[in-house]
Amino acid sequence: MKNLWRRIIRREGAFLFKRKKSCGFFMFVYPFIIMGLILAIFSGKVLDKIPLGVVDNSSGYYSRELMRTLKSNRFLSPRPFATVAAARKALDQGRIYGVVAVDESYDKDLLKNTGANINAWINNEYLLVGGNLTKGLNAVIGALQAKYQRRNLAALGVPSSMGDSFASPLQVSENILYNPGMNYIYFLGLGLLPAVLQLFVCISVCYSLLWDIKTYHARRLRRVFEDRPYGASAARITFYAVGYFAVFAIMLVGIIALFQVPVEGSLFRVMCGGAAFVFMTASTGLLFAGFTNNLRFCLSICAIYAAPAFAFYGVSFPVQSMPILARAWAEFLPGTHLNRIFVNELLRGVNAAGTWHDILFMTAVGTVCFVLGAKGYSRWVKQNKYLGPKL
Amino acid sequence: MIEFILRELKALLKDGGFILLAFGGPLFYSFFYPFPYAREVARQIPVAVVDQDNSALSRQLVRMMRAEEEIDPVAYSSLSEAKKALDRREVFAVVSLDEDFERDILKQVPKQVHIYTDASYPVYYKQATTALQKAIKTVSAGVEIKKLQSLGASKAAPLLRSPIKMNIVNLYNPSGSYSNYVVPAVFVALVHQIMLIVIGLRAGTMYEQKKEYSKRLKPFGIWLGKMLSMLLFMGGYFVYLFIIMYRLYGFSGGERLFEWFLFYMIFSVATIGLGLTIGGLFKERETPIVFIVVTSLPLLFMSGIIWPVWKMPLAIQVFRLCVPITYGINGAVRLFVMNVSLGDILPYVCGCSVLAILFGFTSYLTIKKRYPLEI
Repeated sequence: MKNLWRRIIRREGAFLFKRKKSCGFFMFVYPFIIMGLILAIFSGKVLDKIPLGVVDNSSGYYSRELMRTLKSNRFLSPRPFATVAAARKALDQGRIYGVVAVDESYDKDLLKNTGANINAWINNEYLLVGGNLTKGLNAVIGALQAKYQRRNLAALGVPSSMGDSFASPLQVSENILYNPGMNYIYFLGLGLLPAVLQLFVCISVCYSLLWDIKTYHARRLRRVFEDRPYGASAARITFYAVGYFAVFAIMLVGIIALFQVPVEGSLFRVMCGGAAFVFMTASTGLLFAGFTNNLRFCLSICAIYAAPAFAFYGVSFPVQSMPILARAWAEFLPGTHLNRIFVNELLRGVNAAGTWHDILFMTAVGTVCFVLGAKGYSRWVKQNKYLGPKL
Repeated sequence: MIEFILRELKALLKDGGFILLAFGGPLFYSFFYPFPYAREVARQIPVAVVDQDNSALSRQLVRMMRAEEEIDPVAYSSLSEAKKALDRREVFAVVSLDEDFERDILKQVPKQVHIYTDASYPVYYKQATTALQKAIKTVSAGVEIKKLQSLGASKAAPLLRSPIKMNIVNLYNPSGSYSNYVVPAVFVALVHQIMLIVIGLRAGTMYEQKKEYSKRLKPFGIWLGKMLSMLLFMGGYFVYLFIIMYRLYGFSGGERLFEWFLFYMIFSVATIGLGLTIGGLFKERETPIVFIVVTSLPLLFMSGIIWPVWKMPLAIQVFRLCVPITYGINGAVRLFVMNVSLGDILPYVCGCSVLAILFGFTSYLTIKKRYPLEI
């Protein structure tokens, strides 16, 4: 048994580092390039200082106060424009993401209490930017609204000590839990790690397993697969699983250290989750290889399975809000579970039972895929036509 | 030339791998990718409500929350129970109403409504907090107006309460639909990646088989024939994704079809040129699938649709200008979804044209270098 593992691991090592060096590059260097690019894209972390066009048609005391308040909001970076048409043009050209136009009679209307008008156009096609822009604008208008309301109440004879009870009898005290700074790297960076790794693990396993079939190099494997199909399959995928687990651990520790991601729960459970994730993904690769027996077709299946997986993880759109079939599919993707583990253990530090449930689920599905895949793959390896010339 | 194009098309259509990717890919992804976003916005997010007052006003507030389609208030008897549900992710926010909620308001004491929101899932957070604040502000406004009327402000009460009226118009994607936001960009990314893979697949296969072109064919003729045959596929993708599927999903915009088609053709030349250039690097049939598929995510994020460009590091801002997908996605979103004019995206048109010329030239050099071996 020991001999089997040693032989297979030595063979896989020779495949990666001697016979197909591009595969070694693909496994140990390329994931870091891809993940590095993704993290660099989101390294801005927080979506603030959003360019906003401002057209002040009033140019009075109050409108200037509005401009000052807009400038002081962390989400907004106001830029003056002479006309609404010019600002809308800049919006169409993508130089700004919203336009705020203050009416000519803004100051007058405020003084007369006849309702001062502000019109805003937000580019909501860019949902993240549009959402934060709206949030910033609402905060600014809310602050000014409260100030002018108190002035109006004072004019009606309400003592300033009672201003609050008249102006805002119900106040919201919001406690933002787990990611109060709305740091996008926390969920996008972490959410994309399983998306990238799922592709890499699946493709690597399929490539290595079916390369022997494609190039008729299965002769040396025949006996071991005849004697111990499960042991031989386990040895082969373990090599990749261990390699990718190391890649996962380095990436995760790198993300935590570089972007100061909190670790509220247990890093041990996260690593267990990572191991279960890599096992399930590698077993899925084995299953695809066992069922297709064609390298190109298997890689296409991997691409179809893993490339759109990110959309189902619940990072960009909540799983609970997906149609029922999409929800069911999401549950069979290892990334959905690893993403939950990241949120539970790194950001929230609660629900350890939920984490273990996700780990067990991935392990169970991985085991089923492994058994079916090993059975299918050993069938191909034993066929004479794939054995190649006698050495 | 026509003979060469027909021969090229015939060879491509005989290749099972090519057919699977070139036809199966767009067909499958065009249904599968938008599938999770079918409901467009997150609705009915469970929110725990701990009403310790159980008064007329607190019940009115809970009714108001129920009226918001984004949230689904669930009653909990204590804050600790609600917190446990939050930990188990059964709810994504907790609202707590104190025992003396109504009494304090009647006594003119401002009352705080405590909201605990889970920001580890930003989509839930954004929807839940917006809906809760809206419900609370609506109830608050009712109380304020009653108080102002008691001071004799009668008709002017709403204006005294809200001296500033802000009208926000959400342009291009008024409903905040996720599919409208992501899917048009994904369609372009899909076309870009599939084109790169299938060209690479063909080039790798030809290298493996060491087939040679007939001496009659010169490198320029081969380049032109390759370009035209691949442009036929790109045209097919355009009709399927941007005419049929776009209408089927009912995305907003889509009026500037001709201008988008013109821009799409420039993007197509740049993409095919890039595909042929990097295709020359592949010596195996499967390598392009392996190396190109994994670039899909960073290339999509680099386009600036999901995360704004000005928040990216300078090196990424420069690098993104060297890949056709950036221009294709921005062209699709601005011209086709947002309906802006071709003049408004002139920098993208110029950039994409430069890439089309550059990659056109490099792809010609690649074919010339490999000649007479087929690519």
